[in-house]
Amino acid sequence: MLVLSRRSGESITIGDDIVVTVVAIGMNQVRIGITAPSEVRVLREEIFRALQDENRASAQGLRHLGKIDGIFKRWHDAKSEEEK
Amino acid sequence: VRSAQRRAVKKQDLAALLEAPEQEFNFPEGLLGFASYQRFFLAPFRPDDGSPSPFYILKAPEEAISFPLIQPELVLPHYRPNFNREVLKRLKARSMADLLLFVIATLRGRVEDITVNLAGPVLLSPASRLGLQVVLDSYPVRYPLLDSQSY
Repeated sequence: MLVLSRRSGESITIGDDIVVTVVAIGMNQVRIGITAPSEVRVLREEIFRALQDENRASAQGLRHLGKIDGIFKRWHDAKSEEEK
Repeated sequence: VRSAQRRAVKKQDLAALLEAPEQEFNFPEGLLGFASYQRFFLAPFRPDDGSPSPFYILKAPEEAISFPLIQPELVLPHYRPNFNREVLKRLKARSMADLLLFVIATLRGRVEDITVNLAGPVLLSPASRLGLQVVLDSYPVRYPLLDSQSY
């Protein structure tokens, strides 16, 4: 990993069109500004990981979908009935 | 009236999707964790008894990768996230009414543990045949498919 020191207000460029700026530095937190082309996805890492993990878990297979389909339909019908 | 018309358009698209056994969608960015898979097929799920199902299956043709999808309004009627213009641009769509919104379900052994991913919905454009998984970090990644009180 490349490690660089930056002061508040200073930036780092990545490639031609990504700029990462240290906006503010607190006790335990830094605020970072990112300028990137709109097609570049910028996410907090934990959200990116959580979504990757969830997609992987979801892709595990469709076993039980038949059973779940039946349960969901009954649940949905009961709920619709309740709302009437 | 306009929103009713839009809904009607959406319903027609959905009806078309229901009739088609399989439709191809291209996900230029893949799905998170599956960036290398760009070609997916959407097919309605058919249980053994042949009855219509609220579930759809999004599957990559090359591998045994399949995601169960469901329309979020069936799970959570007031789930109406805002999507920015960039999303429409990427799907080559003019408005949200041209798009189909699904959430991915994660099946687990216990029915109570099954969740849908409200933070990573899937948008499909039947016109451009493009698909996109959008990230909405203000929504939960795991929301129960069945409301525990009703179940």
